[in-house]
Amino acid sequence: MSGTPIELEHASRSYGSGSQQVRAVDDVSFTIEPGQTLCLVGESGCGKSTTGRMTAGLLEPSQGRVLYGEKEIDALPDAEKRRFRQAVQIIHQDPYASLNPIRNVTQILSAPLRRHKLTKSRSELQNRLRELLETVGLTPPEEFLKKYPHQLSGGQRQRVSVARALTVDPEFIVADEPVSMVDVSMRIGLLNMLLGLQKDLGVAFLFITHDLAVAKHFSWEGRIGVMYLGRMVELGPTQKLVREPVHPYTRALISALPEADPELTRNKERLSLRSPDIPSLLDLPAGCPFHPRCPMYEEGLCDTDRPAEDAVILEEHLAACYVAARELGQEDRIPESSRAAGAEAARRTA
Amino acid sequence: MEGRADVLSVRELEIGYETGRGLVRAVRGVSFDLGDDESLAFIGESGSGKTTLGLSLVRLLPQNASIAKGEIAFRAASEEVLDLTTLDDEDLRRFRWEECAMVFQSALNALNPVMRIRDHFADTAKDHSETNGSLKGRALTERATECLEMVQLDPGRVLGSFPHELSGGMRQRVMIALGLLLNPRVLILDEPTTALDVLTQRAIIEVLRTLKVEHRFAMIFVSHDLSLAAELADRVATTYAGRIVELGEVEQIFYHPRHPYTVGLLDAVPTLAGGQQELSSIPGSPPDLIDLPTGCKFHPRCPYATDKCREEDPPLIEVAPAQTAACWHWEKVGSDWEARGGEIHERDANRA
Ligand SMILES: Nc1ncnc2c1ncn2[C@@H]1O[C@H](COP(=O)(O)OP(=O)(O)OP(=O)(O)O)[C@@H](O)[C@H]1O
Ligand SMILES: Nc1ncnc2c1ncn2[C@@H]1O[C@H](COP(=O)(O)OP(=O)(O)O)[C@@H](O)[C@H]1O
Ligand code: SF4
Ligand code: SF4
Ligand SMILES: [Mg+2]
Ligand SMILES: [Mg+2]
Repeated sequence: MSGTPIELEHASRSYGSGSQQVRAVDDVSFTIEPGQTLCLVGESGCGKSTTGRMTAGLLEPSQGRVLYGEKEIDALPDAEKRRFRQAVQIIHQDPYASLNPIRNVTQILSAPLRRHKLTKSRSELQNRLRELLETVGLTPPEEFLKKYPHQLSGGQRQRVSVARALTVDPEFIVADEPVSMVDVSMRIGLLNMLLGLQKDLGVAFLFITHDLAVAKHFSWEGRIGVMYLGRMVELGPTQKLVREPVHPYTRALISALPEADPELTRNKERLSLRSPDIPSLLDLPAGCPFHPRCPMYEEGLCDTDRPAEDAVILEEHLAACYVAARELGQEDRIPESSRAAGAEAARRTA
Repeated sequence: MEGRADVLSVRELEIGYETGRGLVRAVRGVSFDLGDDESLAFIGESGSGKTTLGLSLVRLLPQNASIAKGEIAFRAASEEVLDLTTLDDEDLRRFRWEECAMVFQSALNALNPVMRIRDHFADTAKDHSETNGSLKGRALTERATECLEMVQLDPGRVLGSFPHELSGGMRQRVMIALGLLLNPRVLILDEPTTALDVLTQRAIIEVLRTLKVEHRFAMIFVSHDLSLAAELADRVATTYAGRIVELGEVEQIFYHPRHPYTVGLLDAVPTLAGGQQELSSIPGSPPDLIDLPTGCKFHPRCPYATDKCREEDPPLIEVAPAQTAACWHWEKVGSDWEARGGEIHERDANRA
């Protein structure tokens, strides 16, 4: 498979300034090899889209680096930067905001084809447009070519965004909630189409969704990364992460998810959280950011240092949790200060 | 149904919207009964008329909508039977909130941003001062506190807050608490968990479960999310193009569907439990409600469609005790589904 890996290396991104400054993404690292899929999941506001936009080169990290191959994106020579811009495409979360309202579908799709000089004649252009619309299930194409975004439903707009990303034969697609506006009965069709691109053309994906079941379906052979308050709290192969989640937050998400099967969902074991409310990024808890809600919380151990994303390492599977580290025999990965605080708290309560 | 008192009976309801393009037939020939401690879920994709149906049950349809036909009979606490389609304004006001309350789809934006939550409760109570003269001052605060506790919110913190100081899930729960204020017998919830995060959804579902199991409210859920129905419904109605196409007990609908649209929906939704699934979409898209297809409205998307389907719209046929489906070929659909049972059980076996 040809292509170039993309890597986030300790990337952070802040918004705002002074006392209002928030770290929307905090020290996130991962590599996506050509043809691979990584799904990002997590609650609203946890930093998924911000991570996605940094990965696609649309947003500069405030700290850390984004690498295309060996090189930082901003340091790429012009020719390579052009190649990057063509190779890496993004499907935005909000198709209302990302499609120019005064351009019709033909104009929206032909702009990138022209910019990258991908079609030589008018008829070739027309054929390519038709082919693209058929690929994303907007058929018959004639019905859509002249339409403006406001004349399309949310789901149709999302399909146009997908078609636009495909115009330039990308090798890597950042897909930010690409099916959230599409009706249930048609959602799987669009997902399967994207999966087809991955299987048949070897397109790599950073796929963002808040729906774990969708993540499981889309990246069965790939990986899932779970984000919480700007941090990656667990990252591992999909099948392992879904069956044997390590981080208490991932476990909470899995146990909370309602499923479309009455017996299964009514008899599922539930993990109850200590608090239902997600803390504000402006006022992060000390130590592990999940500790005010975590059912496994231990005083001292959990509220002293912040667990690094690789506090637990199980081959390709990482998790940011000290209690899990201890239970998996990786106590040496817990900083001395947290261990001591934990022991001290235990002594006090004994 | 025997041995159960129905609080609501809807018959042959037809609702249309007058638009520049023509008449949108949003609800067509809908009939159902709701038992007084029952929860009924309407599932179907967007535009299938779910919200319109909910609005009609509290008579809050927009100006351009009209009920062309049908009957909505509500048995009030006094045992008096009200015909909702003809209720006058005075009775209607009493009916709303006191007998039947609706929590709207856009609940997240439905609270007035410049009013504290306390004042939202006062506002709801004020409309009913003639009949609820006592619900003022202390009594009001007490009842509001009780309602907020029922939805697992801390009244001390919430009553004095403005909506923007609360999270989406908290606002959704405030809306449910407002619905409970005048102790209605029926609660209608339009997409109560849509657009909320998983952990917040879970909190809402547990609140609704408590209302159902402990407080025995009758409830109608309207949602495109099958899992909400799987969690909470006693019975499920699958809706397509403004009409109920299948109605049955929750286990019947999820485990023994007889309408191809229900089957299509079940095949399109991934579950987290279990192994890799073969999932497929329903081909095509929902019809234009101004220009409906002939015969069965699902025929352009249906793998079972025959000439008969293109010509004649099937009525709801009894396919099992307490289960009806509007499909000419329900027996074939059913036998195909049951034949796949082995495959589905295998999927279940993987759910460890
Ligand atoms: N341009 C911006 N200016 C200021 N704050 C921002 C900006 N974009 C995002 N944020 C904040 O950064 C945090 C992360 O936002 P982001 O959009 O990455 O979250 P997300 O995980 O994609 O959420 P969702 O699931 O709701 O799409 C949030 O607190 C958000 O309010
Ligand atoms: N105020 C309105 N005016 C005209 N058409 C409407 C109005 N509200 C809804 N509709 C139409 O009625 C149909 C049913 O809508 P709705 O009841 O909101 O469905 P659902 O809740 O299932 O998504 C749709 O075709 C919708 O476009
Ligand atoms: S470190 Fe402690 S608080 Fe954080 S996730 Fe692990 S157990 Fe929970
Ligand atoms: S009546 Fe015919 S077209 Fe309609 S659902 Fe049944 S088989 Fe399909
Ligand atoms: Mg986002
Ligand atoms: Mg609706």
